[in-house]
Amino acid sequence: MRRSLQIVLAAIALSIVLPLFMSLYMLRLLILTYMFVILAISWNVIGGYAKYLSLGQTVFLGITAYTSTMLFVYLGITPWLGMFVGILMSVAIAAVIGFLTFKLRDAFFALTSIAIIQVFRLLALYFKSYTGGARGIILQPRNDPINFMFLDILPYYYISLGFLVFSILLAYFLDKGKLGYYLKAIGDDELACEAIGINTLKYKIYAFMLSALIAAPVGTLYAQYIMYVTPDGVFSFPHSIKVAVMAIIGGSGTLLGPIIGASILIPLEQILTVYFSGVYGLNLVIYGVLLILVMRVIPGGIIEPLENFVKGMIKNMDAGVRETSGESLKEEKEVGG
Amino acid sequence: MMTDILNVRGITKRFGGLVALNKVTMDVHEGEILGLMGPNGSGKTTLVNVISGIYKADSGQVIYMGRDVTNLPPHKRVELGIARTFQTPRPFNSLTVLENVMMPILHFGHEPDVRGTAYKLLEFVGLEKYAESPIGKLNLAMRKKLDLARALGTKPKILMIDEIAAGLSEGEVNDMANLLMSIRDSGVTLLVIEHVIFFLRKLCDRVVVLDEGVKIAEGDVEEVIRMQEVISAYIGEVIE
Repeated sequence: MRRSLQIVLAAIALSIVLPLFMSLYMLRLLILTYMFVILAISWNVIGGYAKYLSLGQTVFLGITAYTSTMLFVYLGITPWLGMFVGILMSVAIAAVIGFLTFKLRDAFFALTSIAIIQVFRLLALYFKSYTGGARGIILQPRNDPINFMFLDILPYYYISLGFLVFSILLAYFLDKGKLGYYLKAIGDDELACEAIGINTLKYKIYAFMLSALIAAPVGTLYAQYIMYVTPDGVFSFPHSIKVAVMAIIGGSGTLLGPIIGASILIPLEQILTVYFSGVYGLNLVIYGVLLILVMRVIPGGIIEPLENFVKGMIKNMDAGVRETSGESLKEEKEVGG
Repeated sequence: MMTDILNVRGITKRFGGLVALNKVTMDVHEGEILGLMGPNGSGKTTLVNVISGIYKADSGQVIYMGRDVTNLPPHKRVELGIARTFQTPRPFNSLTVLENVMMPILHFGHEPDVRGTAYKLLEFVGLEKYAESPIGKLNLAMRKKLDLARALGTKPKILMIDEIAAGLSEGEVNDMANLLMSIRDSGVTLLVIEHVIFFLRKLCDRVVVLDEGVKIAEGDVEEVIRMQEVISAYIGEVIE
């Protein structure tokens, strides 16, 4: 326990210090990765623990992005504040969507989640006079920290790091807490949950709200960082699928799975684009083949072999200590029996 | 004078054109072990599903301790003290054996020591050795016991047990009967769905027999299994 705390603290220290010496390209890659890690964590709450396949997870990012940007452009409210309004909106909308859709199971929930993101995309296209329609809303770059705008990239990096730590903390408390147990149980067998007195609809809605809470801040960060919001950019079905794929490849329903999945796949995607996009589409082919391979070989996600490897190392170390007292065989039998 | 813990009043349940339960009325006395028997497809499990709230009855009422619970959702009924197990055990596969039993205790928060209480329940059903094991380590009999322990974690006043002896060896059935009797002795009323006659004989104070959704007999086990209607329901009429 103490050792894992040390590792976490070291990781945080490195992520604070190293960027000071990094290239612009590396920093952009890290910011992108952090944003997708947060979205994958958010997806994991509902898709991984409760096993409700959401294919519209970026809807919450979009709601917050539009809310804070429109409040800023039309009313002059700083996105720092607008972000909280956007988060509240996202969480409230998650509660409504959850109430309406969590009676559906399996494919029907997945299809509905796709429909919902399309509805929001079409709303943003339709109300042109407020949202700018397909062109979206464009911000003018300037250095204005009070309004969440920077010319330098480092502030964006540290803000995304802050959001990342916040989302990992939420995920940690979810995993170790009561809600996490409820969601795992719901993911296993909803009827059995009802049979021991758990109101499954209630906890699924809580989970969806938490999932929205984790994803929502990324909306404002994204809008202020990219400097524009468009319907296709934020209410994006392809991105929503990508988020789900990352969490699943990493290991859905685990604390570290989505973090590992997004941290590997986003840089991989970039590397493949840089080195293999000479032949048009080759990078995507390689990416696709790799995804299929991972799913075939380790359906539990990358976390599975990784965990076994770490456990094996710890066991070997323990066995080395115990061998002198000749206890290791006996111990193993007990574990096996 | 016996008080009733549960009254089923004229329950009818249809699935499309099929009448699964037809105006079934029965009472469960507090503290007894009531057997519910009948051939396959006679509506036993449907009745348990109606009492636990998983199915909504088309007509009739479920009265629990004098209160009409017909329109309550399943989880509310569990809160009041109506628990059940399933014909095929339904453990939470991503949790350990102990965590499975912890779930209802965690949920209701009756006990400050969640782990300790869950462990005691595992000891009670004889699974304490497997506390930290994954569900995959348990055989069928053990899974059935786990289902029992988890249901007991809700602190039920009445527990409905769906075919717990099915698929078990004779030794396991005896073992299970003793376990159920000690559950009853701890003050829980039992409604036991079963086919296995020697299990019912050993266990039940009374039995109710269903056939094609209709109650055809009720009373002492020995008397009921000699009734002509019951025999013909199970093995059919003699063709002259």
